[in-house]
Amino acid sequence: MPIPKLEITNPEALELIAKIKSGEIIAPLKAWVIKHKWYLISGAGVFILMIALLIGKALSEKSSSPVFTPPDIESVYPTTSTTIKSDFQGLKEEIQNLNTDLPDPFIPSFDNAIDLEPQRYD
Amino acid sequence: MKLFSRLTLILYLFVIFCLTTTTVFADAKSDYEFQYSRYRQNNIEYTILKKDFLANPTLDNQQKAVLAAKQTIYSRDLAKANFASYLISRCEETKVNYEPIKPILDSLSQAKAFFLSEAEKSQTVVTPSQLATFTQNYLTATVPHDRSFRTGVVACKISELVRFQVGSKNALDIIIPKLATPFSTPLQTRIDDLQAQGNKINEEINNFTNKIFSEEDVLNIDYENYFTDKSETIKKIQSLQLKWLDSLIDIDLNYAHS
Repeated sequence: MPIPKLEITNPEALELIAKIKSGEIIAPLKAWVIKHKWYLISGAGVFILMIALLIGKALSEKSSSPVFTPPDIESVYPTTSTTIKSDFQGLKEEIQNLNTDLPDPFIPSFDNAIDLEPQRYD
Repeated sequence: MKLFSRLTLILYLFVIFCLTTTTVFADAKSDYEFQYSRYRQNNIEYTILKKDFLANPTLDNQQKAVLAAKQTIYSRDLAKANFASYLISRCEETKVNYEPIKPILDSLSQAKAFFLSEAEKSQTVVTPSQLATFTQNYLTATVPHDRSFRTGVVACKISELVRFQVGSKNALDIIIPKLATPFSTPLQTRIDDLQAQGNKINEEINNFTNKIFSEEDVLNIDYENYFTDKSETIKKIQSLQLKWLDSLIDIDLNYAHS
């Protein structure tokens, strides 16, 4: 089916098309961009950097972080030394604990001269 | 009903038996401590009443003082008898049955009997003159028995030393069958040395015991320094025993356990 050819007759549309064709309509925008081109370049740079960081972060979160383990070496066990104790240690302690001081037990003092004679209190 | 009353009687008897056996099981040391504390108490009372009597010699004060003196003598001699008993039990608990100290144990037994008899005898005293006569006789008769306490405490130490010797000998007898035979020359030398050293310690203990009965020691018995050299000898024998046992333990650990 053939496409019907459109014919623009609206004078405002015709005027706008003429402006577009001549480049008159984008002239102020072009002038503004040229004026602020370094700001735009810097903003674009920062924007690209932010995007790169976000992408990098998203990718790093997807993959699990590697675990660094030390190289495998032989396991070290503490050396256990079995202390052999003699059966006669108890006897030795008994000898050591003997009190060599005399008199043991202490001999109490007694009054052998119990009477009612006065001379003992003169 | 009759059966019930009989059962009650049996129960009462059982309770009395339990209470009395508790008293019987009190050891010699606690008996002595109890009697000695009573003596101290009575002695304080006697001293005060005697001073009162001497300051104011009335018949009433005299009777009070004589009564206090009788109680003091009674508790004193019971305390002494219990002290002798305590020393005997200390010597006998080692279970060594060491013959050379037997005369000392006998003298302690005699002392115990003497003090018990004196305690009873003191209760017949009524007048101050009887009290004076009693004390006069006591002062002479008590000397050898009081001295037995001094030899008794030494005998207890000797029986401890002998007990260690018996224990050490038993230890050697236990180890020898555990050792690998034939004995190496160094091991045989060490065992021979142990036996020789053991005999030497036995000899030291015998000499120490015999010295107690020597004239020199008997004359020195009442002096302050009586115990000084004995304590030194006991210390010396103790160190010899420890050295001997260290050597035995070394053999035990290095030869018997390997």
